[in-house]
Amino acid sequence: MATAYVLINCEIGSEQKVIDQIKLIDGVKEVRGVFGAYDILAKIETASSEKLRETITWKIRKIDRIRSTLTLMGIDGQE
Amino acid sequence: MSTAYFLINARLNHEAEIIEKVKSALKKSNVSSFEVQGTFGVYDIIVKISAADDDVLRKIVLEKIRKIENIESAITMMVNEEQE
Repeated sequence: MATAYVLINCEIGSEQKVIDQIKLIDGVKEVRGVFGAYDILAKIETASSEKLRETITWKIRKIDRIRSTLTLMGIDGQE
Repeated sequence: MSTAYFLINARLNHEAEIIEKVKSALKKSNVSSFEVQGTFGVYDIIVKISAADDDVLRKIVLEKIRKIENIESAITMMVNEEQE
């Protein structure tokens, strides 16, 4: 099992639209709008890190109105 | 219910120790739920805390998390409860 947290900045005012689109993606366990340095935080869990990479590169990063993403890969054994 | 995420930078080689300290501090406090995960990337540790309200959450952060040694920096992000 591979886990990643993706911190997202999106265009102003489009947070809810982006959140709604992220929710539809397979492997997304959690997605929340946040105040602070980032706008949205998503937690993704997939069977392999390869699948995780595909989900982030091809699904999340393709969403319109997302300006930047920052990925934190979970470390096994540090939880 | 209020929830916040914390992005923590640890002093090198102190990641595992901080994770243990965060976990034991939170177990002893009145949080509703929490999650701690060590990560690769710009930040070393991500922590999610849910508590009864903002005041409880703020108190826990100030008194428990920010007191832990070897934390270089911590960024707090409050969850916007209206966006789900």
